[in-house]
This record gives sequence, C-alpha cells and structure tokens, in this order.
Amino acid sequence: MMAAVHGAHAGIVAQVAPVRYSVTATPGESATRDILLSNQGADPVVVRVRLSDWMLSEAGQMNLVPAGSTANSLAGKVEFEPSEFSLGAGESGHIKVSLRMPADGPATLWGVLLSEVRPAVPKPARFGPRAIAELGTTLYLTRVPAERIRPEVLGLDVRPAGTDSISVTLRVRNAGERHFYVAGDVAVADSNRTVVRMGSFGNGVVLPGGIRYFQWTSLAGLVPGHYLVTATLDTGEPELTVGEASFTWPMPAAATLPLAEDPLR
Amino acid sequence: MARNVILGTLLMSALLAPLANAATSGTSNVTLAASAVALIQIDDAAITLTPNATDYGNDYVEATGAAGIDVEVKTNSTGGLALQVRCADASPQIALADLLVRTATAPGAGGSSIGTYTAITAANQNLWTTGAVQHTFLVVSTDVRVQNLINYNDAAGGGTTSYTNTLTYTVVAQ
Repeated sequence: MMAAVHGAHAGIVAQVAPVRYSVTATPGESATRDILLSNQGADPVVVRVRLSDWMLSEAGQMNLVPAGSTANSLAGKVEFEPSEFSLGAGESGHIKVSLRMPADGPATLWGVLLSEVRPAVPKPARFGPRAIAELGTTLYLTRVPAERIRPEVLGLDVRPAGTDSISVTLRVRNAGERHFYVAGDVAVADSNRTVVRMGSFGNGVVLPGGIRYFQWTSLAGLVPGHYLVTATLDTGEPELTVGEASFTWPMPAAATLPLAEDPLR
Repeated sequence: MARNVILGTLLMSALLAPLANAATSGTSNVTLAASAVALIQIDDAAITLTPNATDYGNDYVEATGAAGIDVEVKTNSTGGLALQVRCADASPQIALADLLVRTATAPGAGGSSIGTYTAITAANQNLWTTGAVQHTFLVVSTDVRVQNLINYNDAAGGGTTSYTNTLTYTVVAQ
C-alpha cells in the first residue's frame, strides 16, 4: 500500500578508510593509526566519533553494544582525536587513533570506532524519518602474534534445504587467544569425481574462544547418486584445511556427517 | 689489420648491445597495498509521510519501494559489511514501537536482511548484510511504516503537526 508520500531529499555520501585495523603490540606498547573520513557529498557535514563494543553471533551477525560492556572491550585502551569535526563538500579529515596494549587481561581486545556523519544543516521533515550515516572502523588489538592462531574445524554438515537444495554448514572454533579469519570454498563432486557444484563460504572472523558457522546453500539439481562435498579452508595458517563429507541424493533426512581433515599446500 | 679492426668493432658491438638493452629495458615491480574501505550514500535524507483517510482507517501509513529510504553501500572488504539501522533520538517524536522498517533488497552472499516489518530500536539492528565484497554501489531500500496513527495529534489550531525521528544507518565490517 502506497500512501501519499512527498518527495525525498538527497543526502550524505561518505567513505571511511580503512574499515579495519588489526594491531599486534607487546604489552605496554602503544600504536598509532590513522583513519580517513571523506565527505563526497555536495553539502557540508558534521562528524562525531565514538567507540563502541561489539559481539558476534555464531552466524556471524555483528551486534554493537556500549563501550566497556564486554570482557574484551577496548574502552580505556584507545584514544582518538578529534572526536568532532566538520567537513565541507569534497573534503576529507583524519582521525588519529592511539591504542595501548595492556600487560594483563584478555590477550585480544576489539571494538569499533564509529564516525557519525550528519548534515551541517539538517534536512526538513514533516511526518516521517530523517536519515544520517555512520561509518565504522573495526579495531583489533592483540599481543598474540599472527602465527599463533589456533583454528579448529568442528564439523561439516550436509543437509537438505527444502526439497530441491542442499545446505553445507562448516563449524569452526577459535581455541586460541587471537582472532583469525576463515575463507572457504566448497565443491560437490559426483561418483566420477566430476565437480557438479561449486561455491564459497565467504569470509569472516572467528573471535578468541568463539565458535562460528559458515553456510553455503545451493540448488541441488542432482541426479540420484552418491556425492562428495569438499570444503577447502584458509584460516591464515601455512596449510589449508580440507574437510570432506559424502551424501546420497536425494537425502532421506538431515544427518551430521564426519569430517576428514588433510593438510594441503 | 683492417679485418682485425672490423672484428674488434663487431665484438665491441656485440658486447655493448646487451648493455645498452639493459639500460633501457629494466623491470620495475608495481605493488598495490590495498586496504578495505566502505562507502555509504544516503539517497533520501528525509521522507515525509502524509496519511490520508484510508491510512487513518488502516491506522498506518507507509512508504515502500522507491518512496522509502534508499541507502547505497559498497566495499572492497572481503568479509563484506553490515548495514545497520537504529533510532538514537533521546526523545523520539514517533514512538519506536510505531516506527517499523524492512527491506526488500535481497541479502548479499552469506548475508541476511530484515524482510518483514520490525520495530526500530535504539540499538543497531542488522538491516542488510553481505559476507562478500560489493564493488559497485548497491541500493538497499528501506520500507517505512508508521502505525497507531490515531496517537499522533494534529496542531491545536488545525493543520498538521510534524513528528520526525532520525534513523542512523551504520556500516561496519568484521
């Protein structure tokens, strides 16, 4: 249903670079980074910067929560300036971020620096919402070197999704104290080892002590028979991890299948 | 003697030729140290919903599709990004429970979206996410519904009264 809706007003165009910093520092050491915020719109804007904590669900959903509310918060360990500034049309501004790695407590801390961008002159509105923008730069601060990550693949599930699709779910645990990223590809091969379906799990972070699952769903369109699912994972370790699971199509019921791991170069 | 000179000249040419080539055809590596950036474009900084008699009968008014709020995003972050929305107004003029949003924009690879009307909250909600790069601007359309219209009074002297909330669209990457 479309009610009488008056015209909209053009708004904000803004860019943040980068969207992420991962800083490794020794205890007591300070590190400085630079964030560039650009106003690519036609009107001047006001920028307000603040720190937020965030949590991650097993499905990979980021949920922002107030700074200082999580055990791995960066609150008190990060300073930034300026916290508020104006940018004219086409202008860019720098935010200087200083991080200090404590000697104790969690070995990895994380948060996000949010830059709220709103028009210097608010747009008029009558009955309805205005919209403004906010851009985040995610920050990780750790005293654990990148080579000391501990990814563990917990399982690879193949399940029917509806009547005509399959869903492949990969579960990964971070048994270490440093975050790492997982990227993975999946391939489905028939009994002749011919790949009939290919896809990607995407890319995502697994936080220390956390579990994350990655899912790939595809229209099956398979002839009845036996199939092999191969998941190739890059967790940042020198070797790739390969998981395999077999299934019969059509699938009689959901089943959790065992995972076989082989190191590959 | 003359032959020796010629031979010597030929030898010099043969020796010099590679040197000349080396001086004019060296190689140089160009390395791009790329980092992830994100862009957001608020296409509709404000929309106005003017309920008609039918809307009052339904007790809601909505702006859907092109009439809603379009926000464009793009990123080269391999992990994608999340487009979140909230209303952080200290004193919202439209009750948060009465201000509903959804998007008809399909989520990106490995992502999710709010496909059914959901009340806006003061905390961020993931409106649309992708788990992969989005190299070109993608329009994420927000449908907006305001319900319980009977609770919003007109001006004392007639005419209309403005009720406006500010929605904050946040882009974050993992």
